[in-house]
Amino acid sequence: MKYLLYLGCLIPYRKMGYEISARRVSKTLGIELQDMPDANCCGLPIDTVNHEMMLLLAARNLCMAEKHELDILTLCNGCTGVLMKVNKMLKQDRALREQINNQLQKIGLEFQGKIKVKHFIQILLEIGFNNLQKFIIKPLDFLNVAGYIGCHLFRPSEFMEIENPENPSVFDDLIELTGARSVRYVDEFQCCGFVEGAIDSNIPLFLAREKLNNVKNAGANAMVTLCPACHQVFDGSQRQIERRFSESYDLPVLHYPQLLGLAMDIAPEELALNDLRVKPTKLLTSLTKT
Amino acid sequence: MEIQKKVGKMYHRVDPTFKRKLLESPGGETFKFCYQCGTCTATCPVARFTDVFRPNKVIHLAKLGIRNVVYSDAVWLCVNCYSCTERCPQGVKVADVMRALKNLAVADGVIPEFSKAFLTTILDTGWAYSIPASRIAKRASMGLPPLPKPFLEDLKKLAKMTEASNLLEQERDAE
Ligand code: SF4
Ligand code: SF4
Repeated sequence: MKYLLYLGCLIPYRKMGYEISARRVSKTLGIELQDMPDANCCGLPIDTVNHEMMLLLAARNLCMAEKHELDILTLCNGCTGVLMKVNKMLKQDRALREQINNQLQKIGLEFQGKIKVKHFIQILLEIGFNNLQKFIIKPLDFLNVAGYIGCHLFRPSEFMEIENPENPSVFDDLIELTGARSVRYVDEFQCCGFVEGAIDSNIPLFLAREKLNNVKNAGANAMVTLCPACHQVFDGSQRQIERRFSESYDLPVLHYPQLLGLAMDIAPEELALNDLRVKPTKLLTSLTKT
Repeated sequence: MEIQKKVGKMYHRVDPTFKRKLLESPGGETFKFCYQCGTCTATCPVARFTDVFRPNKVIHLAKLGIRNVVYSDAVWLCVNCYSCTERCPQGVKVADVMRALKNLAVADGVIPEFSKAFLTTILDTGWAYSIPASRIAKRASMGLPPLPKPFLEDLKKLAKMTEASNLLEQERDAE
């Protein structure tokens, strides 16, 4: 089981904890990760400016992976959405493929459609719950966890591969795998607001605040995400939201591999839990008591 | 509202050919099926917190060719969450239509600062965010492998082909 790790930009920019924990957990699970030395921006940030440029940036990454003859493993929902979508578009639409290949030719590349793009959790699903269960040494049964799956992992359902996109349950299953209870809450499938920050700094705070309140009211004592952007909103901006609305959440937000890693009895230091803005102090105390 | 000021004056005339431009723009094709039910707006997380953005209204105004509204800040508020696309009963790919509208706005010279900054950083570094040296040093100290180095020449060539780099050149010329 070997994959090319496509990190994207936001993870090295701000979310090292996600990378470290994903690498660490993968190692124990036997998922071999090869770095991708020649990758570039997935293209998403430029889609609103120039759709064609987005296609070319994504296609270049896909061509690089084809050269390495390996499927891509992504951690960021944004990268997943774009790379998976463009990969399928180019495989399905011959006219588009010819147009893009004409352009790629000028930098010596050709899209052939030989590889797949998968988010980390899709690889976990391929391993299967029965096999994963064997790695759970320390079930986190003291935890109520609110999962936030994030838009681009399951929408648009035309391209993404998450079952039941109107009400996906896959993340609940992955959370319950760790022994924690998965908490459902209002608006759990609505946008975190991350990209909104660029054009209006208020709306994302409202979007995130609403969800933090819903999560709290549902009785969760932690949140868990699958995307660095969602994580930045709920963890990185949590203090700012608390100040702005004079509210208090104190809700640690873990990257999913961190949660899984704890249940696999990997030491918190190895999972970079200290990299979180909202410190999971209570959670770690309960952990040592079990 | 930086864009509002700019477009208010620029596109005050109604452009009856605009709907054709949108139909021909990749992603814009499905907008003609809209029958104004408002499902997209009802499901839109952004519309809940602002009065200026209503996806169904944007589509209606685009049909009429009222560009100064279509090109305003409103459409840039769309976060591309695809909730609307999933739920439109007419199969309008609403999120793609919003994106196509942004592309048309950019082609007409209306580009927000943050998009321009992304484009510049991507062409300079290969990535939308430039990773500070302190982070790179920290990575090394934690035993993480070095970050990818894309061939920037390739990216510049691609940007030239798509005319994306013109946006930055225009800007430089104007200065
Ligand atoms: S949901 Fe579809 S048909 Fe209804 S207003 Fe929105 S785009 Fe038009
Ligand atoms: S994609 Fe844009 S218009 Fe559609 S629901 Fe999301 S924010 Fe609203």
